[in-house]
Amino acid sequence: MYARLAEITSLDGSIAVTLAAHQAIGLKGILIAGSEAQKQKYLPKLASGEHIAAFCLTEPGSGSDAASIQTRATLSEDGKHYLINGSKIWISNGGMADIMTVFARTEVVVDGVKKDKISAFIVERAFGGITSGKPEDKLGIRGSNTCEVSYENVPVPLENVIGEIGGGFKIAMNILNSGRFSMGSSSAGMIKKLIELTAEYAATRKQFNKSLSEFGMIQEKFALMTINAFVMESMAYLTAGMMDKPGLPDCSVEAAMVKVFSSEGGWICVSEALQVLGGLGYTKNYPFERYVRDCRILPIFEGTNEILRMYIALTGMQYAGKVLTGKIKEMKKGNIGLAMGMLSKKLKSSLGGSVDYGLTGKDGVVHPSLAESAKKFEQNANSFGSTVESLLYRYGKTIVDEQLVLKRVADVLINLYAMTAVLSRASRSISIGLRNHDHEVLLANTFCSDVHFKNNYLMTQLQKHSPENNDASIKKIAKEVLDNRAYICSHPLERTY
Amino acid sequence: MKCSRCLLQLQGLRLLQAQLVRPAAQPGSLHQPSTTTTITQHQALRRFHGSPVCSKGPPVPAEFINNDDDDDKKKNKSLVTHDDLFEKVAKDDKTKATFNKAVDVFIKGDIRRRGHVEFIYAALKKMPEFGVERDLVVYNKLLDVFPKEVFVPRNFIQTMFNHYPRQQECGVQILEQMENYGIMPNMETKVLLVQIFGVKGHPMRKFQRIMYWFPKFKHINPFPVPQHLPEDPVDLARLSLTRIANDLDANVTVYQMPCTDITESGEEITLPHIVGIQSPSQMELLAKHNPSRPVFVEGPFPLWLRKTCVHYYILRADPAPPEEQVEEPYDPERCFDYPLQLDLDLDRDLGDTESFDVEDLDEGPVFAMCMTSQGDQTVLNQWISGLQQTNPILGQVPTLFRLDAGPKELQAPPSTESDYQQHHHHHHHPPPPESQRRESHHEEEREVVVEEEQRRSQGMKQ
Amino acid sequence: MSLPKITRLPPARLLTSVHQQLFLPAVGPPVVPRRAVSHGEYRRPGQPRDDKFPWQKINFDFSKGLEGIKKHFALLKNEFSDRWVGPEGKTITEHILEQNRVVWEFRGAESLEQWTVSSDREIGGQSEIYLNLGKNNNTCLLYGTLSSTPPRDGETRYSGYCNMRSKKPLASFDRKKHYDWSSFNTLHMRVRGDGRPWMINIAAETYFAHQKDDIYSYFLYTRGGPYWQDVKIPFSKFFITHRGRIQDDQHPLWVDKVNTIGFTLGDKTDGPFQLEIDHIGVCKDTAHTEEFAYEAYKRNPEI
Repeated sequence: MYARLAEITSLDGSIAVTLAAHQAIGLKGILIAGSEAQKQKYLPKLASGEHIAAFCLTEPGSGSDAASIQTRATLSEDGKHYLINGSKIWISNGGMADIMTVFARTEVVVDGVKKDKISAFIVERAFGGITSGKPEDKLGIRGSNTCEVSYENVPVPLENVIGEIGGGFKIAMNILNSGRFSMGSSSAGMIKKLIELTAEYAATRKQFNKSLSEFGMIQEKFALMTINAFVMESMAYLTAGMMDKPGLPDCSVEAAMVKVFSSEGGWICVSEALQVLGGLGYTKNYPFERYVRDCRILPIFEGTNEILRMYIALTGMQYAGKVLTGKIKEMKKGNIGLAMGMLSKKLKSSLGGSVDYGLTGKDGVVHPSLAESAKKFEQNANSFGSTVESLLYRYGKTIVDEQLVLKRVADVLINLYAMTAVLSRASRSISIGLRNHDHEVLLANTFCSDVHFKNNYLMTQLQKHSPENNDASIKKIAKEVLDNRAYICSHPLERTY
Repeated sequence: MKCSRCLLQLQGLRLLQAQLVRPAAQPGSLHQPSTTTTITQHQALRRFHGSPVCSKGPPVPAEFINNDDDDDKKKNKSLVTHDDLFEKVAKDDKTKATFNKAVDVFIKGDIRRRGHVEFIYAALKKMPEFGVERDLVVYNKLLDVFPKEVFVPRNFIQTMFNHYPRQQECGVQILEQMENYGIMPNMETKVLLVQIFGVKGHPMRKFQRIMYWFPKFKHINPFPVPQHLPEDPVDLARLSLTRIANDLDANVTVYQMPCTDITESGEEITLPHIVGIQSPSQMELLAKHNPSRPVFVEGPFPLWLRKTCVHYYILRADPAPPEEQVEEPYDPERCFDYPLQLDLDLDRDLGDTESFDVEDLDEGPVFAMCMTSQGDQTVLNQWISGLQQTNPILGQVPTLFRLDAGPKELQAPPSTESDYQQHHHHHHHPPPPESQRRESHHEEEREVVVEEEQRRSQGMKQ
Repeated sequence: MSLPKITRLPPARLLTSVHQQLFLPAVGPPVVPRRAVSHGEYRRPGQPRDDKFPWQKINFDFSKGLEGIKKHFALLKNEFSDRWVGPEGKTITEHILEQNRVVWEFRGAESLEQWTVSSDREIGGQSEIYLNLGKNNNTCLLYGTLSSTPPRDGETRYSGYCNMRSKKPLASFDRKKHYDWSSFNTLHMRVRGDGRPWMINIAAETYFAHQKDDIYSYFLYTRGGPYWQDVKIPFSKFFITHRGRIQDDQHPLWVDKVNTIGFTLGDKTDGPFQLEIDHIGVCKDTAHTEEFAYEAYKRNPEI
C-alpha cells in the first residue's frame, strides 16, 4: 500500500522525503516496538497528520557507528524521568516534528559490568528543552526541513522508552531496514513521469528534419529509462508482497537490494533524461534539474549504498559460511573424494552442461518465451554459488576486510534478485494476459541478457589471480595518494636535466 | 712508448740520487715542445717527479708571467707550484671570483697551455677551499682550460689506442669530481667535451653514463631533503620535526625562541630554542595513558639531513604489560548496518595472507618530539610544561629523564635507573627496554669478525 | 723494488685504475726491505708485515674439529629429514602458496652470527662499525662512525664506507646453498635509520670468475625519527655494479640463486650513524608488473 502511495508522492522529492521521514522511519518505532499504551497515545494523532514524526539518530561524530553516539540519557533523581542531553544533525522534519524517536546512551548493568547501551525514547516537543537549528541549505529536496536538533536536559518519562533500556540498537536496525524498500517504487514513479515528459520533448523537437526520437542514441536512453523503471517496479512490489505476508518475515536484505538498485538506477536515468533535453534541461525553466538535484540524495540517505552493499554481501556470506563451513574445512584438509567431486563438477560446467533449477522445461515455472533468460539466470546463480564457496575458502572470516570483493558479490546479488523479479513479473503478465505483455517480455529479456553478461564479468573478476581483477593496483594507487594527501605525479613539463 | 718508458726509468734512477731539487737546466732542455711525443714525455716527467698532491711544474720563465703577479716572483726563479698560483691570487678571500681569476691567469699565461693537466688537477683539489665545488659554471670553465681540437683523434687507429691518455684521464677526473658532488652537467659541458676530446673518447663516454644514470636517480628519495637547509635553527627544527613525525596532521609549536638575556648580575644567558611537535592521534594516546605508569623523555637521537646532524628528544612510554592490555571484545552492536565480524570458523587461506609471519614489535607509544639546541633537564622541563598545556594528564604522570648520547663503545658506567626496572624483571614479558647505554656490556663479546671486503666506492665506471 | 714495479704496469692501467700510481716508494733511510714470505701479493703500506711461513698458520685443535663434525652431521641429518616434510623443509602447499617469507629476523643473539661487518679500516681508513642487538633483543643495531679522510698511502683517493653483509648460506660440510626467491618480487624491510642514505647490495650466484664481484644494488633512504619505516623495494629496481661501479649493460637480478645481502653506508658525511633493522623479508606484490627498471641503450651511440 505504501508502495503505491510512494509512486505518486515521488513526483516531488521534498514531499516524498517529508512523508517518508514521518511515516517510514519516524513513527515506525512506535509501530513495531511500542507498547500498547504508547500506540494508543501517539498513533492516532500521527496517523491523522496532526503531529509530525521524526527519527533522530545521526550525530556529528556518528553515522553508522553506534559506539560513538554522544547523546546521553541519565536517570533523574526521582527516578521517574530520563534527562536527555546532546544534539543530532540532519534530522528530516526536524523543525516541525512534534514526536521524535531519539536514540541515546544509557548505562546498563550487564553481568555486573556497567556498559553503555543505546535506548530509544519517544520525545515530544512539549517536554521542553528541545531547540531546532536553522534549516540546512541543501543541494536538493530543498522543500523538506532538515535541521540540527539539540536536547538540553529534556525530561522524558519512563513510560516513553520504546522497548526496554539497552535495546535501542535492535529497534534502530529494524526501523531502518523496514523503511528502505519504498525507494524502489518512488524512483519508479519518478522515472515513469520523466519518461512522459521527456518523450513529449523528444517527439516534438526536430533537428535535421528529423525528430529526436528517430536518433539511435536518444532511443537508447529511453530504452534504458524504461528498463530501469520496469525493474525497479518489479523489485519493489515483489519485496512489498513478501513483506505483506503473514508473520513478519525479515526482508531487510531484499529491501536493501531494492534501495541500492533504485537509487543508482534513478540517478543514472534522471541524468540521461536531462541529457535528452540538452541545454534546456539544464535551465531552471524545466523541472529536470530539480529532479537531478533531488535524486542525488538517493544514494546517500537511508544508508549509503556502500554500507548497504557490505550489508547485503555480509549477510549472505554469514549464511553461506554457516552452511559451507564443514565442506570448506574438508577441502582444506585435502579430502580426495571431495576434490574429485569438485573436479567433475567443474568439467561438466566448462563443457557446457546445463543447470536445471526447475525454472524451464516441461514443468517449468517460467513462461516459455522467457526460457532463454531463465536459463541465463540459472547459470549465473550456479556459478555464483561456486564463486562464493571459493571466496570463503580463500578468505574465511577475514572477508569482512575485503570490501572490493564484497562489493562485487553484492552487485551480483542485486542483479540476480532483479532478474528474479523481472522474470516473475513478465511471466505473470504474459500468463494472465495483461495489456502490453509483449513489451514486458521484451524488457525482461533485454535486461536479463545485459545483466547476465555483467554478472559473468564480475564473477571472473572474483577468481583467484584473474587478470581482470585490478584490486591490488587500485589499493596501491589509493594508498600512495592518500599517504601524501595529494596527486603525486610530477607535472608533465618537469625536467631533470 | 718504449722509449718514453726507458726515459722514465732513467729519470727515476737519476732521481733516486738527487731527491729533492732538480737541476733547473734539465727541464729547460725539454722546453721546446713541438711534437706530441715530447709533450707526453714532458707531462710524464712532471707526473713522475712528485705525487699530484704538489705537482711541481717547471719554473715559468719571466717573460711568460702575467704582469699582475708580484715583482718578487719575476726575480725568483725557483719552482712555482700551481697550488701557489691559487694561493697568491686569492690571498684574502677565497671566492668564486678569485678562483675564476686564477684560472684566467693560467689561461692567458700561455697560448699552448703548458702544464694544463697538473693545473687542472690542482684546481680540482682546491675547489672545496674556494667553495665552488658545486658550481657547474666553474667546472665548465675548468674544462675550457684544455686546448680545443688538439686531442681529438683523427682516424680510427688513434681512436683505438687511447689518444692522449693523460688528458683523457684528466677529463674523466673532472667529470668524476662532478659526479662525486652530484652535479648534473649541461649542454655546454657536452659541447666542450666534443670540442676537446671528440665523440669517441673516454670523457665523452663518462659524460654519457652520467647523463643516463643521474636523471634516473635524481628523484628516487621518498623523503627528499632540500639542497639548502634553512639557516635559522627554529626553521631547521620545524623542517626536521615535520619530516620525522610520520603524520601529516602533526602540529609544530615553538615553545621558546632563541634569545640572549642579560640577567641582573650582568651575565649573558642564552636561551635555546625549543620546538615541539605533536599530532592529534598522539594526544589521544597520551590522554588514554595510565597515570600510574611513568613516561620517559629520551634522547638525544641523531637525525641527519645531508651534512648536518640535529638531535631530537622524544616523550614516550613503555608498552603496557599483557595484563593491562585488554583487547576490546567484539561488540555486535557497534555498527547499525552491517556486522563488523562474521561468526564463522574459517581462516584465511595461505595463498592470500598478506602479512609477515613475524611477531609485532611493540615499543610503546611515542607521544611527542622536540628539538632544542641545549639538551639538559631544565630545558626539557620547559618543554614538558609547555606540552602540559595541551595535555593536562602530564601533570599527574611521573616523568623520567633518560638522556644519553646513543650507543658508543667507550661508555660511562650505566646510570642509576629508577626502581621501575626491577619491577619489570618479574614479568616474563621481554626484558624492559634498556637504556641504550647498556650496550657497553655487549661490546667486548660482540666485536664481530671483520672480513676482507672489496672496497666499495660508489660511482660509475670511467 | 721500484724498477720491476714500473715495467709491470701496462699503459692502459693509467686510465682504468682507481688509484693513482706512485712511482717512487716512500722516502726514508735506505733500508733493504726483507722480502715477505708471501711476496706474490701487494702489501698495502700501513698493514703489518706477515712473516709466517704458510704451514705455520694452521693450528690444529681437537675440540674444534669435534664441534665441526657434530655441526655438519646435524645439518646433514636435517637435510634428509626435511625432504620428508616437503621441498626446502616446508610442506608443499606452503611452498606453493607462500606470499610472504621472512628471511632474516633479529630475535636473539644467534641471529647476529649470520652477519659480518666491515669498514674502511681494512684499507687504512678510520671509520668504525659495530653490530649489536637493539633494545629488548628484538632488533639489530648497526652503529659506528664514518670518516672519509682517505688513508695516507698515496694511492687511495676516496674513503669512508661501512658495510654489513650476511654470510653465505652453507649446507652441511660447507657446501654452497642459495636462497630461492623466485616466487617473490619485492624485498621488504622494517628499518629505523637516522636519515642517512644506505645502499642495499644483493649478491647472486655467478659462474665465471670475473663475475665474482658483481653486486646488484639499490638505495635505501631512511627517514629518521622514532617510528619504524617499512621499505618495499621490488627486485626489478636493482642495478648491477661491479666493485662499486655501475656497469653499462644492465640486466635484472635473477632471484632464484641469491647468496648474500648487504647494507653499505658511504655518503661522504663524517659522523656517527645508526641503523636498526627489525626484519628482512620477501613478498609478492601483485600490483607490480615491472620486469626491469632500466632500459637498454645502444652500446656506441652517436652524439
